[in-house]
Amino acid sequence: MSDKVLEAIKINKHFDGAQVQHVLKDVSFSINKGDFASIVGKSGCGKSTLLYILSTMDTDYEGDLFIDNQPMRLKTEAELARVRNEKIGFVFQFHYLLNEFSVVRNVMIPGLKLGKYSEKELEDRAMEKLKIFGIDDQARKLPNQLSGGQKQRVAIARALINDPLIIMGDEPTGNLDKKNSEIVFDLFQKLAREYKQTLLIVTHDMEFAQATDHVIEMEDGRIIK
Amino acid sequence: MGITLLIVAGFGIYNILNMMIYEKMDSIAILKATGFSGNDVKRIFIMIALSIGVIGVMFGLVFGFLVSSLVDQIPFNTAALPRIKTFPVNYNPKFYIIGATFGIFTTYLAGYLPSRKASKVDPVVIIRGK
Repeated sequence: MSDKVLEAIKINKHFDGAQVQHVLKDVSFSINKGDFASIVGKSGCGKSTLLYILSTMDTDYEGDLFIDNQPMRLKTEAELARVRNEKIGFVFQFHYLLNEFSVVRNVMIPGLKLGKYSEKELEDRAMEKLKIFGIDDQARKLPNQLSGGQKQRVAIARALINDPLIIMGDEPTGNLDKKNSEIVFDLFQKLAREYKQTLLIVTHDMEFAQATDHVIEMEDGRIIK
Repeated sequence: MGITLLIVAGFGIYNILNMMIYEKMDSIAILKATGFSGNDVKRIFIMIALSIGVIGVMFGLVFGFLVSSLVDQIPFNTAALPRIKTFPVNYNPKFYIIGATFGIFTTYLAGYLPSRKASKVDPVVIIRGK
């Protein structure tokens, strides 16, 4: 119980429209510390919807969600923001770097919000993360001067800055070519193996999923495996 | 006269901030995703409005002073007031303080509504929409 990083219990979600759609049906599973897990399924099966519920950004669902053994159900918007800041790192399909700030500053932003380290320490930590990804020489540039693959690596460094309990990725290689996808995938592998980072990645790429330790397969709003 | 100008300027700032929020939707979404709350986002946009206000007020007061000291040099002769040789100008600091206060207050009001809109941006909608 104690090493469960994330636990979902009977999560249901409906989309209200002209017709009510039942997009997630009794989804229950858990992720343990150090797991490298992936959620796969066809597009439209609800996997991204599930990830956004797990990430605490979508609060419109039924069921229970525990992160670090704490219930997320009744938390306020500000408390959830705090949970995301401290415990969850995100990598999206698109990098979402802020073009107004340098690469190293972008990596530091979630850390500045957390306020656990001084600005100087944070900068050192950010540089350390960039070094792991081999892009520390780009630190002073602006994000729009970087290639797509480099930007995505910066985004992963940003996800890591607060030493999150879990990293969530929504098709993190979806926008990259084959070569860059492999680089990013290898980085996730490295994080999982060398740094024992817990990862939960949503993907439709079976090859990617096969290489993770825990594959959650979804179809039509249910977990089938 | 002054009130009208403030209202017009206020609408200008309101519009600038509204546009800025549409442009910066992605940035707002990622800030929220990485742990900034609605209130943090609101604070950022109010700070932007206030910095426009403070800089505007400073420029306004300096230029206002320069223009009024120029006006002060204009010859102005009237039989009714024989001691006055130039255009009379009142430099009472009270007017400068009132001007500054209203200026900053207007920008705060103009920034408040857009920043509330920014604080309500739903990151899921933005990020999934890609």
